Amino acid sequence: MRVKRVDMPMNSNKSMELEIRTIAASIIMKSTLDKGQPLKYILSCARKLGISAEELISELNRRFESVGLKLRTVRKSQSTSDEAEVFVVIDPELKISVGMLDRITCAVLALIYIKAETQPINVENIVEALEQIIKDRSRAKEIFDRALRKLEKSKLVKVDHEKKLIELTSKALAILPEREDLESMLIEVIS
Amino acid sequence: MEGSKSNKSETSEILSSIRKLLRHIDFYLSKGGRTAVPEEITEILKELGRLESASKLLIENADIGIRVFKKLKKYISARLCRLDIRLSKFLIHYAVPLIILKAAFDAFYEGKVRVSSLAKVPGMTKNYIKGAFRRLRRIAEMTEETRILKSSVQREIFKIRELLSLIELEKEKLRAQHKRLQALFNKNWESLEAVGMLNSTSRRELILRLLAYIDYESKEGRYANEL
Repeated sequence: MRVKRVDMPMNSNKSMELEIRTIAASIIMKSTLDKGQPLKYILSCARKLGISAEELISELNRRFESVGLKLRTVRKSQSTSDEAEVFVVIDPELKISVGMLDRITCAVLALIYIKAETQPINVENIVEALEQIIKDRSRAKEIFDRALRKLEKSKLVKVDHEKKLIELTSKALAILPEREDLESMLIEVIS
Repeated sequence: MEGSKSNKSETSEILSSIRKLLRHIDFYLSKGGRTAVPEEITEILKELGRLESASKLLIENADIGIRVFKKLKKYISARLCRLDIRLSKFLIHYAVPLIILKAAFDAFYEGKVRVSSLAKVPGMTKNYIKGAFRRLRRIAEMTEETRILKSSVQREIFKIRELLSLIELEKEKLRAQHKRLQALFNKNWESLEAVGMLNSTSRRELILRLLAYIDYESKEGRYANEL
C-alpha cells in the first residue's frame, strides 16, 4: 500500500509557521532525551518571531493539546525564571491508563511528590509513608529500594546517598499531575 | 533381403532402447523417486513414441509389452506422487513467510511485544497513577493476609504441640496398664469395665486416651506385644 504524504495547510506567513513547528519539534526531542527545553530559548524565539512569549506558548500549547499532549513549564523553587524548563508530556487528564514506569515505581514517585514536592526529602520519611500504607516495614523498604533504583535510572530523582536525600528532577515534576489531585487520589484509594 | 535386414536392425535397436528404458526406470524406482529424473527416460520415451514399429513390437511381443507398461505405470505414479510432494512443499514455503508475518503483526497489535521507538513522550495519566495506588493497596492487603495466615498457622502448631504433650502424658499412664486396655479396646467393649470407663470419663479425656492408645499401639505396644 502506498502512503501518500499530505502536507498540512500553511498559513500565509510560511516562515512563521515553519519556525513554530521547529520549536515544537525541538521541545519534543528534548523531552524524549530526559531534558527540558530552556524557557529562555522559547523567549528568544518569540522575540525573533515578533510575538510575545505568552502568545508563542499558548500557540504551542494549543497545538500539543490537540494531539493529547501538554506543555509544562517547570520552575524549581530556588531557580529564576530564566532557568525554567519547558517539557512536552502526555496529558494526565486523558482517560487512558498510560505510564512510563511500572505501577509500583509510579506509586512511589507519586508518594515522593506528595511528601516532598520540589524540596529534597529524607529517604526515611518516604519509607515511613510507604510503611503506613503497606503496614510492613521490611516489605516497604524492599519496595522502596527497588523503585528508587528505577527512578534514578530513569532520571526522575536525584539521590544524595551520603545525606540520604531524594529530590525530584524537572522531568518528574513535569510528568506528574497536580499534588492536590494525587493526594485526593491516594486518600480515595487507600482509605 | 535388404528390407528384412534393416527391419531386424531396427527391431534390435528398439529392443535395446526398451531395455535401457527399463533399467533407468528400475534405478529411479529403487531410489524411491528421490533422484532427479534421468533425461534418458524422457528421450527414450520420445523416441519410442515417434516410431510406429515400436508400438507394433510391443503389441506383438506381449511379454515385453506387459513389462514395459507395468513399469511405466509404476514410474508415472511415482513421478506424480513426487510432484505432489514438491507442490505441497512449495505451498508451505510460500505460506511460511506470510504466517510469520501474521504472527509478528498479531504480537505487536495485541501488545505482547512492545516496540520501543526512539522518540518517546514521557508522561503518566491520572488513571495510571490511580491504578498504581490500587496496586500498593493490594500489596498491603496481601501482606495483612500473609500475616494473619502466619499467625493462624503458628496458633495451630501451638495447639498441636499442646495436644501432643497431653497424648504423651496419657501414654505414660498407659504404659502401666497397657495389657488391660489393649484387651478392652480390642474385644471387650461391652464389658462392665468398659461401660464404666466410658461413662466415667469425659469426652475430651476419652478422645485423648484413644489417640494415646493408637499412638502407643503403633509404636510401643507392638514391641510390648512382641516381648
